[in-house]
Amino acid sequence: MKKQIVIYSTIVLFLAGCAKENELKKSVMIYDTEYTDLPAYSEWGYNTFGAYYDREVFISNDITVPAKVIVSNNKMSFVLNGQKGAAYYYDFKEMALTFTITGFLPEDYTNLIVFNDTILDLTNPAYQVKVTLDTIEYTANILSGELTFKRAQNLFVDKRQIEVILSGYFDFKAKINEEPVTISNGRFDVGISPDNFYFY
Amino acid sequence: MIVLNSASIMKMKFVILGIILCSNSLVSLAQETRQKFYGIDAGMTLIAAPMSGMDYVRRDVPDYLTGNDANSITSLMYKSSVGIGSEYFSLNSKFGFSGGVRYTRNISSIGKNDYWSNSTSYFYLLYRQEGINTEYLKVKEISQISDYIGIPIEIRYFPFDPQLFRVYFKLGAEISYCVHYKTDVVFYDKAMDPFQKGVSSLAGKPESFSSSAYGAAGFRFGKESKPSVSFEICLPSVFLTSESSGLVNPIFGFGFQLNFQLPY
Repeated sequence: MKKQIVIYSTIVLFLAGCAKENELKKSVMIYDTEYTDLPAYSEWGYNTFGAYYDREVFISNDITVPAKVIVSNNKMSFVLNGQKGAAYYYDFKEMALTFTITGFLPEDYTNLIVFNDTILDLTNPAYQVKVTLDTIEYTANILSGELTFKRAQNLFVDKRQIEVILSGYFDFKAKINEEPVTISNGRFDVGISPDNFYFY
Repeated sequence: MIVLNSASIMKMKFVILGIILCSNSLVSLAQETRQKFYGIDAGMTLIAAPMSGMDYVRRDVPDYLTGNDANSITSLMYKSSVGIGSEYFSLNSKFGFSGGVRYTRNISSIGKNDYWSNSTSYFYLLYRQEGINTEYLKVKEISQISDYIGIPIEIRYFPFDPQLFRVYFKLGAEISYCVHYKTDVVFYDKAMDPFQKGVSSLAGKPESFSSSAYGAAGFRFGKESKPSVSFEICLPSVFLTSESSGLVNPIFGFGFQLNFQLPY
């Protein structure tokens, strides 16, 4: 009986512990004072991102998981999922931006910390960028641009590691579906935890 | 040798008589009409005070009801005071000038607003950032008590002639010095209690000096030159120094005060 109580208490505490950090998975949108349709750059793990897709806005929302890291087929993909159209648009289109890095295969989300203070030149053939618009995926032919991980942080809450926060910028020019496009003023601040890190 | 004629002697007599009469009337007036009291006062003021800084607090999920994401973390401040002092009335008893010493306790706190069911009872506080490691602590409330000794200077105006019940209006200012303060943190997980000191230092300390100006309206109950009781409602109390609490920025407040006076 005593053993059962201990096991039951442990399970309850574990489940409670998991549920507590759900707050960190939610998005906290604080708009930029200059680029008012985009989130302000932050390093708190607010789970937001935003950029201009030419003159339109590509931005995170409260519906889709804003960021995922997928390690598969000898490459790692950093995926930003959101919408094309400002947050107040009702007729927005789903949009995703995928940065793929070949040769880097983190086995755990904690390995992402190596990105701290790292700039990736997207014209390097080791990197690939894909744009998904309304479920149609396009490979971007990068003309110029960078993906900057300004900061990667191991986040501990009450002394337990919960996630790795990736914060940074992205800008590039590319031919997408044979059309030249500029993605500018991109910024992201996302938390990667076991829930949105995939290794298979 | 000075020789005084009768006219000069008469002039001098008039001057001396005039001086004597004037001084005599001044003394008699002062003795007859000027009232003096000493007394004690006690009061409480609720203060509108937004958080003094959000630098160490992670913002919460937007509050869709108000559209203000900072609203879900609430700040509160109130002060209670007790003092002693004396009051001198003008010759016509319409103005009272008072001063004294007042002890004030300011209590301020920030905490999570959990009125709405979709809100948790804690917020994330950035405790430490070292290199690539960042530590948050889950905090339910931070409160701060600060004790001040101050010198209030006040003027009361009584628009009506002395009677048992007199309405008055008051203007005052006070400058105070912080003699003690203490910060308490309520963690979501009590196991984090050893970090009390570190979080307290993040919260900041109150300013050493605080000053405020205030107005009040009230009534005095008591016969002239007899013991009296006054009750007043404090109209906006404006803080001239912004950070008399490390947690919040007091802006203005409303409250009440009770005074008991004895003549002397």
